[in-house]
Amino acid sequence: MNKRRDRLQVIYDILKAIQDKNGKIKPTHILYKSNLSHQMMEEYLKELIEGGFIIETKKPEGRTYQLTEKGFDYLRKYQVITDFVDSFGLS
Amino acid sequence: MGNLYLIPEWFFKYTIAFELIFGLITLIVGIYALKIYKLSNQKQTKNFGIAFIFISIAYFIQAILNSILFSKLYTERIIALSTFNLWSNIGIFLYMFFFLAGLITLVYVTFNINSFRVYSLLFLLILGSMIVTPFKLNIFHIFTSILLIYIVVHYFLNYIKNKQLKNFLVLVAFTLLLFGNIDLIFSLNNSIYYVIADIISLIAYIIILINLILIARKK
Repeated sequence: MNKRRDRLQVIYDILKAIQDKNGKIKPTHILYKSNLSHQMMEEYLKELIEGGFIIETKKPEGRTYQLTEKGFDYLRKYQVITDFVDSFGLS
Repeated sequence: MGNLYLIPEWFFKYTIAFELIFGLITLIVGIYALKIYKLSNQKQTKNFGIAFIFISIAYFIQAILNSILFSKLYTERIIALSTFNLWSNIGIFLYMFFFLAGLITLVYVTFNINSFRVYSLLFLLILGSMIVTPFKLNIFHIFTSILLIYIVVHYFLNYIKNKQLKNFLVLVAFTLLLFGNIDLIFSLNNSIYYVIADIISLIAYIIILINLILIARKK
């Protein structure tokens, strides 16, 4: 498995973890499900927010993350994305 | 312009059709890559899409140029050498520019360089050499062959790493494009090589399209 695939897989794992929690999750759950370091998780979350895959909600009890339509789309089309990236060696 | 391709007269309308097909297939691949970029935010897929759109523009330019020349030959039978030279020089230069831009972008993407300075250096070195040489088409095919060799090696290593049908199809397609490109060098002296190169390229682009259809069909 190449580096790019790993990255696509990590994004998939994070989004899937959010989806499995009915589309809303706390960062501690993401940390547990994605098997990333805290710093790496924060970097991915920042990237996913900027990319429009998830939205962050800040409340007194803590942060939660929700999938956007783009996030759901990524999960639905994940196989197509990885097939395209793999076949043209875009790693 | 130093040289011109020798194209058999009977093949003229077919080559225009082939160029339109090449342009269309590369445009479809380019647009699809941009769609994947929109889904995934992977910068490489965006650059890959841009590379294919450059190549598509090159083919459409060549098709338009050949259509103009063909229609002039058909309606006027004889056209002035100055008219012929003007259209062919502009068309061939634009074709070479966009085709090289596409291939250089493709090499940039497949090597995962991530440095605009390296990209611009490569582009300016090749374009500079093209401008100063009197044998523009020969040099163009030598450069594109070198770029394609690097791309083919990349796809070969990609196939070795991941032996799947989709990777094999891409490897075969780009290997055929390399052979077609080398074959075009000989078409500067013998017209039959142009026909062979076009047929090889057609097979290559059809394989790329089949691969894309196989990927897109998965939901």
